[in-house]
Amino acid sequence: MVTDVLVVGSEGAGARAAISVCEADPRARVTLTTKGRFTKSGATLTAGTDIDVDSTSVIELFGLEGDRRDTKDTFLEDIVVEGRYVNNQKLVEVLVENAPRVVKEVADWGMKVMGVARAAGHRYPRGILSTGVEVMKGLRNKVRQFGDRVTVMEDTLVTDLVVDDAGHVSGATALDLRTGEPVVFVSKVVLLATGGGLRVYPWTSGPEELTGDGHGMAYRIGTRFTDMEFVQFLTCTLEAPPSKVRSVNPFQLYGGWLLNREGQRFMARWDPVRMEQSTRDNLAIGIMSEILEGRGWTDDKGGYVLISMKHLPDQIIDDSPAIQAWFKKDFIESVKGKAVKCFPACHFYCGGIVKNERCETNIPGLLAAGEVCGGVHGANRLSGNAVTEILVDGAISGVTAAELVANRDTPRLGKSHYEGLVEKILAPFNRKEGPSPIQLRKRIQKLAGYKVGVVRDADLLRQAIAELQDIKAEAAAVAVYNSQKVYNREWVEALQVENMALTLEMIARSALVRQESRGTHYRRDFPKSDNSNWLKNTFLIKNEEGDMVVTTAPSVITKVRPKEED
Amino acid sequence: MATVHIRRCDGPGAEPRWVSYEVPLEDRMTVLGVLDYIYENVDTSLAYYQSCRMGRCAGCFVQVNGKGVLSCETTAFDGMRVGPLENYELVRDLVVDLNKPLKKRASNDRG
Ligand SMILES: Cc1cc2nc3c(=O)[nH]c(=O)nc-3n(C[C@H](O)[C@H](O)[C@H](O)COP(=O)(O)OP(=O)(O)OC[C@H]3O[C@@H](n4cnc5c(N)ncnc54)[C@H](O)[C@@H]3O)c2cc1C
Ligand code: FES
Repeated sequence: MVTDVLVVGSEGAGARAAISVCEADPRARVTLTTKGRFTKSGATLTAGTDIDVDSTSVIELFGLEGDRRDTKDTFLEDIVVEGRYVNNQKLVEVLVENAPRVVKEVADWGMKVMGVARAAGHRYPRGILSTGVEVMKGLRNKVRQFGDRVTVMEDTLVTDLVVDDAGHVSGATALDLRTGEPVVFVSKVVLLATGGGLRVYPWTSGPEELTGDGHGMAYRIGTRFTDMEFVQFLTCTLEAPPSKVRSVNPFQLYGGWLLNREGQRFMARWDPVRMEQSTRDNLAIGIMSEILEGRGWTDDKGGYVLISMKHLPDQIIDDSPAIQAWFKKDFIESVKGKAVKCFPACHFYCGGIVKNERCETNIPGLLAAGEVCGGVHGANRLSGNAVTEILVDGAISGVTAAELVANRDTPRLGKSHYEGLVEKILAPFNRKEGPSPIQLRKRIQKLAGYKVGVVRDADLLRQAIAELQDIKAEAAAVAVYNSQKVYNREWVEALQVENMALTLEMIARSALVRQESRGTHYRRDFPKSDNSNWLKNTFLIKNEEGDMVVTTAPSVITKVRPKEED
Repeated sequence: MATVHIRRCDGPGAEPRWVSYEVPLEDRMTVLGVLDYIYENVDTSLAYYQSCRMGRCAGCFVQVNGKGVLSCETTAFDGMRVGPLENYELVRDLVVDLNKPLKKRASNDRG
């Protein structure tokens, strides 16, 4: 298939980028791919959603109750304080500058705006309230206006990037899940918008598809990554009902007790004053430390502790508006007077592919947008800033893509450029014996939960890296045991496990290098932040010998520095 | 252990068949949880769609005893019959092409 711009990932960042390409170049053609369904895959849909713009723009563009004392610089400052001063401030400037325009546009295209809120970490009300479903409604309306200039290809699992002799990305290979046939895309530009790799972890608030494929394929061709150690977790997530994760836990807010195997309210050890009402970071560290130190429960995921409602009179549960709003009646009834499992769940990747202000990567022909990128959020992300980032990135990367399209002929690829990659797609399907992709996926997730999760130390990380070498070797030999060509989930998993292992290895190696704790990254062997040595970012790449190497460089600081006491 | 029945079909035009599976029904397990169990432990060839697992994406629609429901939001029960949405073109098993609504309701036993 020949196209001008191949966009991998169809949701917030990808769909916004497609629109931007079409607006910037009236002749350019875009192919928008997703391994799931358009507006039915990815994290964008599941978002809450608050979408940040500076509070003055809240008044001027949306006519809502903002606060004129806020400026773009104040907004930037809050982002950098939350990011613990290691954000790339040049990228943050681009974000705050473009946010009002791009958020307003989606509203004009049909996203319903329900109000404004001030979330934790923001000095002023900046969160435009809507839902992820509404964001995608606005974007889909606009994409449709471009008719057949945007080809949407669903159930298309992109597996690798194709590079020409000059080292220029010139397309990609994919598996069409509906036919079971490989597809070769030839394009002038590839734009990665595959989101975070949340499913690498055993529990996540995010959807099925996010297995770090974009990370894996970019890594294999030598793309640079940054800040992979900064993974955001939700604190005490519940399973409600089984197989489903809840991103909020109002039971913890309204009096539930966190208990370990000895029946102790263990938060006394971590925050004796606030106990279960402690900060998110403390709760996550408390829960995971109990598990790692043998006082929690272990299982084939990442372990758990209990949250107990046994002491709580039913009336308190019945009278809590938050509990009533978030859970179905039968679930609420089923937990009254009981204790249920509680564990941290992966929520967001702060790090990712290194992008510049135009969303270019270090590889010619490869652009990146959205959660797959790093740099903006530093060590922790402010609530509401992820959707802002994907919209800003989408808008900017599309313009860059259009420029590249105008300056390049359609690449001429020969079989030698993609033959091996197509073979790699078919190999697990044709193999009759080998490790099971399902079992391998579970092994990776368990390893992620216990050893590269909320609480880290040098030993755990080294063990994880060693085990990942075995897992990668097994991933290269996986076999698909059923022989259905159409919509074969096991085959999909077989093509994902290498990406999951690589993504987890990137996190583990970056986390091992950062010998301090900062934001979302907690090292129990280095529990303090160290501003004299670590106002730096990690950078990761595959070197000439094929090894994964991590280096560090000082953070890009243009405006905000830590104060003495920070 | 409970028995559930799934309508399997290799694609449009292929012969559909009802297959019964024994599954351990945990407390309040969802229909999606049952499909995952079968895929992971009994038959890896079962085709079904899921994404958000929280009732947002509306991608996991199936029919349970003839009624269209989100599999991630619906509690499973002993004896349930799970089939694909009947008013869209079938891809395989429980997966349909939501871009291809069928003109008239096909008369069949998708349950
Ligand atoms: C439960 C939840 C709530 C959230 N709430 C908020 C909030 O209130 N405010 C906020 O700002 N942020 C929130 N976030 C974060 C935010 O939603 C995400 O960061 C953002 O939507 C990511 O958008 P994206 O376009 O980069 O990727 P995604 O929306 O994740 O899309 C990724 C796309 O890539 C596709 N893809 C992946 N791999 C492949 C492949 N190999 N081949 C083809 N396609 C592929 C997927 O199918 C999908 O289409 C929340 C996240 C979660 C999980
Ligand atoms: S999986 Fe998204 S609605 Fe069920």
